Amino acid sequence: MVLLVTSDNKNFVVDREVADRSVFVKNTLEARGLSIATPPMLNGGCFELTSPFLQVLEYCQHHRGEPLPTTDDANADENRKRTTDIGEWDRKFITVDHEMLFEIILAANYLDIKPLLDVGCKTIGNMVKGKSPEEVRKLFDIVNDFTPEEEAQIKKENEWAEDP
Amino acid sequence: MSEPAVAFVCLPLELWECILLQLTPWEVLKLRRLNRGFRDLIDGSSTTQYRIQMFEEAVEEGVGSDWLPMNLADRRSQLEKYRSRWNHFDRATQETFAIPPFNFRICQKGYIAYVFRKDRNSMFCARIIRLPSTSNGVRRREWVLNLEMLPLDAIVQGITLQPELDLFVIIVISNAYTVLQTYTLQLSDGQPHPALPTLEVVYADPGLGPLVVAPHLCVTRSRLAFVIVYLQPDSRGTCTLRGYELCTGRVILDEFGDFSKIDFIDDFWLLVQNVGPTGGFILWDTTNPTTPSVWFLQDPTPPYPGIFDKQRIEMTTSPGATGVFNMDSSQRILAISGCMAAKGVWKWFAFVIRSSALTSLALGASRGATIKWQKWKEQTTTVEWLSRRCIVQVEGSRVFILRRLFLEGKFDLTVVYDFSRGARKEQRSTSLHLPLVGMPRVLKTHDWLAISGNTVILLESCLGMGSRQASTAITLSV
Repeated sequence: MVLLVTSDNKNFVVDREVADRSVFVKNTLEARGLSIATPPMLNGGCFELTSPFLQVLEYCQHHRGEPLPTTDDANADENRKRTTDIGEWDRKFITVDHEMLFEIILAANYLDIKPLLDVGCKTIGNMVKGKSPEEVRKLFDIVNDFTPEEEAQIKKENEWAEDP
Repeated sequence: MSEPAVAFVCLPLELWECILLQLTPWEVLKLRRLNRGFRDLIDGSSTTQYRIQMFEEAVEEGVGSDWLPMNLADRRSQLEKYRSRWNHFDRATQETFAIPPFNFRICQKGYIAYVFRKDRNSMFCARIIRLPSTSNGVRRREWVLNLEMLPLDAIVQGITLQPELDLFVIIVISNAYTVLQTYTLQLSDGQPHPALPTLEVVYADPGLGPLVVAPHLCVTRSRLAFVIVYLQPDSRGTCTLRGYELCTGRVILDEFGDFSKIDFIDDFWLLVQNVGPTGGFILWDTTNPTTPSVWFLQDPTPPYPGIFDKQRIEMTTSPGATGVFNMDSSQRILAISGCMAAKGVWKWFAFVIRSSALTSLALGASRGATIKWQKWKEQTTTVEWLSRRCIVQVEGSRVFILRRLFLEGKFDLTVVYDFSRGARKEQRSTSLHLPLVGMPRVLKTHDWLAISGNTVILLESCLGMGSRQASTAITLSV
C-alpha cells in the first residue's frame, strides 16, 4: 500500500499497483525506496489537487494491471496519432466539464500517466473536429479579439490549406 | 468555474502539442483563426510549425491529407538536430522583398523575373531583379516593364531571361487559341530590343485543341534566333510543332513527322532547349505510358546538318510512369535531371551532354534505373544520392547538382562534372552544405536556388504559415 498526500493535505491510501500507473509516483517510490510520496504543489499552488486527483485515482484503479506504455516504445506516438477512438469506459470517465477536463490533463501530465493524457488530448481533439472556428469559439467561450485586418490576413495565410 | 477560454489557452505548450497532434493540420490551422492567443500559441510551437510545413510540402506534392511524415519523437529529435547544426552555420546576407500574388516567375542565374498583377483587375507588369552578389561585386538592379496592352484575361505562357544576351522576353498568349504576343526588354538600357519587334503570331486553330507553347531563345552561329515552338494536337491525336525566328518572323521549324505519332493521352510534357552554338532542341515525351522518352531535334537553322537529328533516348521504367524534369544548358553543355515514378517507386537520373564532342556523355541514374541511348555510348553510374529534389545547373564549364535536403533543412551543392581544359573531370568531392537564413526549417518545393558565377543564390519562401507572397534572397560565396 502507498500513502499519497495531495497539496491540500488530503491523504489517500492506494495499492502499489494503482499508484504505479503514474510514472512520476513509480519513479519517486523506486528512487527513494519509500512507500510514501508527496506530490508537490501543482502549478505553483493555484491548482486544487484533490478534486482531479480523485478522478485520476478512479482512472488508475480501473486500469490497474494493464501493461504500462514504455518510453522507448517506437510505436507509441504512432499509435497515439493514428487512433482517435476512446474506449467506452474512458469516454464516460472523461465526460466532465471543461474545467475538470483541463485539470485532469494537467494532473495526468504532471503525474506522467500517458494513457490518461492521451484520453484527455483526444477528447479535446474530438470536440474541435469538424467544427467551424465560430463553433469552437462558442464551445469554449473564446472571444475573437482579432481586428478585421488581422482576420483577413490570417484567412489569406490559411488559404492554401482551406478545406477542399 | 474558471473562465474556460483562459484555462484552454493556459495549458502548457507541451500539452497543446499533444492536443494538436490529435488534429489534422487543417484543424490546427482552423484553431489558429480562433483568437490572438491561439494564433500565438500555434505560431510559437516549433513542433506544430514543423508539422504544418511538412503538411504544406505534402499538399504541394499531392500527398494525401492524412499524411504525416514521422512520429512526434522523431520530429522532436529532428528539430534538435537542426538546432545543434544551426550554431555552426555562417550567416549569409539576407534581403527580403515581396513577390505579389498572381505571378508567373522564373529564377535563373542570379536573376528573378516575374509577371504579375496587383489584383485580378489590374494591368500586367513584369519585374526583373538582379540579385546582389557579394563575391562578384554585382549590385542589385531592377527593371520594370508595363504590359499595358494586354487584355485582362491574358494568360502568360512563358518568360525567358537571357542575361548574357542582354535580353528579357515575355511571351503571352491571350487565350488558348488566339494572339500570341511577345514583349522584349534590353537589360542594359531598359528599352525594347530594337531588332526584335513585338511579334504577333496568330496561328492557333480553335478546331485543333488547346495550344501548348514552349518559348525559347537561342543563339545559333552568333545570330540571335527566337524560337517559339508550339504544338497543337488535333482530333486524331497528332500534333504540329512550329518555330519562328524572331528577327524575321519567318517559320524556321515546322511539323516534325515523327511527332505525329505521339498519342496525346493526358498531359504532354514539353521542354525545349537549345544545346549551345550548334543548336538543337529537346523534347520530353512522357505520353507513352511504358517508355517515356526524350527526343533531340536538330538545329532548324541550316546549313548545320542534323547532329541531333531526332535522337531518341529511351528511359526504361515501369508502366504508368510519371516524371519531374529539370534541364539547364550553358555554352555547349546540356544537363538534364529528373525522376520517373511508377507504382510508388521513384527512379532518378541525371545526365550531361557535351554537344561539341558528342562522345562526351556522362550519366548517372539511381539504382535500378537504366537509360538507353540510341546513338551514344551507354554509360551508367549508380548515383544513390540523386533524388527528385535535385536541380541540375550548368555554369560555364561546370555542372552542378543542387540537392534539396528536405528533412535536414539545407541544400547540398555538388560539382558533378567539370569540362574545363578539354577533359571531363568528375568531381564528387566539392560538396557544400548551404545554410539557410533564419530558423531551421524544412525546405519547401518553392524554395529556389540558382548559381551565378561563384555565388549561390537562395530564394526562400516566407516562413509565415504558408504565405507565398514574400521571399528572401541571400547570396553565399561558393
